[in-house]
Amino acid sequence: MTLGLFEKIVLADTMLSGSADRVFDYAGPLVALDSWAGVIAFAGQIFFDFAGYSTCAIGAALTLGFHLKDNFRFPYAAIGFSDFWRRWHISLSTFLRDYLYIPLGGNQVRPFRAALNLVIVMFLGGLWHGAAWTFVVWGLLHGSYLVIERVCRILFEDKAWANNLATRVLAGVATYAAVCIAWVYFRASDFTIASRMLAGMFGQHAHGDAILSTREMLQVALVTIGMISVHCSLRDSNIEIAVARLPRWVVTAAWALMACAIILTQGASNAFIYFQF
Amino acid sequence: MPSFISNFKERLRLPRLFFRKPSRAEQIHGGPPLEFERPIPPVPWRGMTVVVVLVVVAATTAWELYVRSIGYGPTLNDGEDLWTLRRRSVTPESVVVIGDSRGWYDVDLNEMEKGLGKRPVQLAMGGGCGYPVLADLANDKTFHGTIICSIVPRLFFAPPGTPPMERGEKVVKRFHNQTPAQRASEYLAMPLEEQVAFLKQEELTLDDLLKRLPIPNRPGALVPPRLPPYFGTIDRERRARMIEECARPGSELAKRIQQIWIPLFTPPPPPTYISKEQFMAKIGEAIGGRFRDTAAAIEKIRARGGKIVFVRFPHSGGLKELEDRDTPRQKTWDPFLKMTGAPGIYYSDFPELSGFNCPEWSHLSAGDSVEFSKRLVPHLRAALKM
Repeated sequence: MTLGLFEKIVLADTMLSGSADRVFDYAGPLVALDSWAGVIAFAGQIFFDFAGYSTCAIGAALTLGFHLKDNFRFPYAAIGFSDFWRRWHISLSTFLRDYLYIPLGGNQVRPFRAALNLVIVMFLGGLWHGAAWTFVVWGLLHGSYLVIERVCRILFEDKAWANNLATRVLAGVATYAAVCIAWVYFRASDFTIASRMLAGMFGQHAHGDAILSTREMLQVALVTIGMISVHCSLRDSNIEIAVARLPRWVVTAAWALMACAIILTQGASNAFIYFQF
Repeated sequence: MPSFISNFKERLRLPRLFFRKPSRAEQIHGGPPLEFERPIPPVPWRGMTVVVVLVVVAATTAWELYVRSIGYGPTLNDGEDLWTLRRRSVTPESVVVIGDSRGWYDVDLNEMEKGLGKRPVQLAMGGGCGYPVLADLANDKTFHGTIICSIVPRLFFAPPGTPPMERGEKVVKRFHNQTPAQRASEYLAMPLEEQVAFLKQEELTLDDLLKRLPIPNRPGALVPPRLPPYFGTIDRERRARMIEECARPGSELAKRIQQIWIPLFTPPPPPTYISKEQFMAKIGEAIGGRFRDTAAAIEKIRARGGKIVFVRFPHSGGLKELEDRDTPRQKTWDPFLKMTGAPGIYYSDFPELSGFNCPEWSHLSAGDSVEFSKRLVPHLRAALKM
């Protein structure tokens, strides 16, 4: 529960939400650095917000003797989009798989129909988040990503280079970048903001405004690097194994540090993002 | 993977109720058997918990002693919930003080009560625009009391979407939508905040401490100016008082705050995505709209028998020069009173109200606020025809 609160209160609300809000709420064009910083901040914010909430729920349930499954498994270390959805919001993705994708025929149908099934499932997954076209686009983007991934697998699976380290790293980076691009539609309240953000991210606003302070950008960079490092190092493991393997003084120090940071942050946190869905 | 649950149970010596496995009968009648068990790492949890608690208590105590040693004292946080608490105490005939921080620091509730016969409810707020509160009182069909509204043109005429407006809108929204949890949280927080100095939101939170890091920004970056450091205390009635260290003439703290007001009150450059002419036209439009909306709100209050008076509180030094230059009386105060038809008290019109010096250029010291309020009362009574 300390870890969950730390993720939510310190990392999501204190370290990242300010930058994400300022960038997405800004009414004018932004330079690429600020646009990317805002989107990366939101990618981290939504993960820590929701994973923190899930971790708190797991901890609270455990104190009462209920054993809940993980809802996140280090998703930003995913290599490919099917891997991402096996790691992100697992309760939703499992539901979609079991009650939508498989009844639609899953991948046991012709390739075109299987691809269409993916798009339909992700379209409905987008709509599940809210009745807004931006969520639909977010879902369709993820559907398209999954289709592209499937095509790539069919074409390149047998190639020798497909499974070497460099390709895997590259695929991981591409997955993270594509997920971030999709987050733009998830966070933006309308298409004008989303278009402006994407234009900024892809260098269309060379003379746009810079609105983030150096301190804010450093916060986003440090938290994101830390988050991705942890995700990569634990992608085939879990937090329980990490706790069991780490020296006890490290676990104790990390626990105390997180508790102190929560107290220092004080009680001015925002509501969980996922409460609106 | 082996389960460590029994190990964990043994180490913590928790009641069997929490971690025992369901009996056969429970599995049949109380639902399916346990399908998934989270592994609990086999570490000495009890010992680690004791160490963590000791470290956290020691670190928190050290932090509390440190912040006290550098001049911080316990005071309530002026959050939306405290404001809501006061807003709930407004009765149909109440005297209410609204507006910005000058109406907050410079009004002494005891003197006002002596002079006006009723203890005012303090609803003015630091860095806030009073219009959303005025509009809310105008829309409250039961309210027909008296409003004393502080005017700082840059705050009261702030366009929608700017921080002063958002501050005003936020408190009104919280008043209408406060949840029982938020209300309970405020009641629980107040006794703690009155005793613990480091519980100071907008000042000693992790976020605020990070903001203080001296990291230079990129040239041309549109970064918001810093807010002033802690210089006042508030009580449960939201009576704000300047602390002694700031009130002392020539104090370092007062000088530091003076230098923060200047960028804070300097108009930001027009954004790059709109021409200067368009920007100025929009600002003019927004100010005109605020004049009209305020007049309409006053009309509603007056129709129910309510009264309102606007007050321009003292300010001094470089900040006065800046405000007189950027928001001159002839372009703000005078046309505003003319359009709304409401009475106004401009402190510099009266010798007895003009001789006060604001230590940090924007607010009166706690002592001066008492004297100022005493001298302001006859003018309020005259303006309100009491």
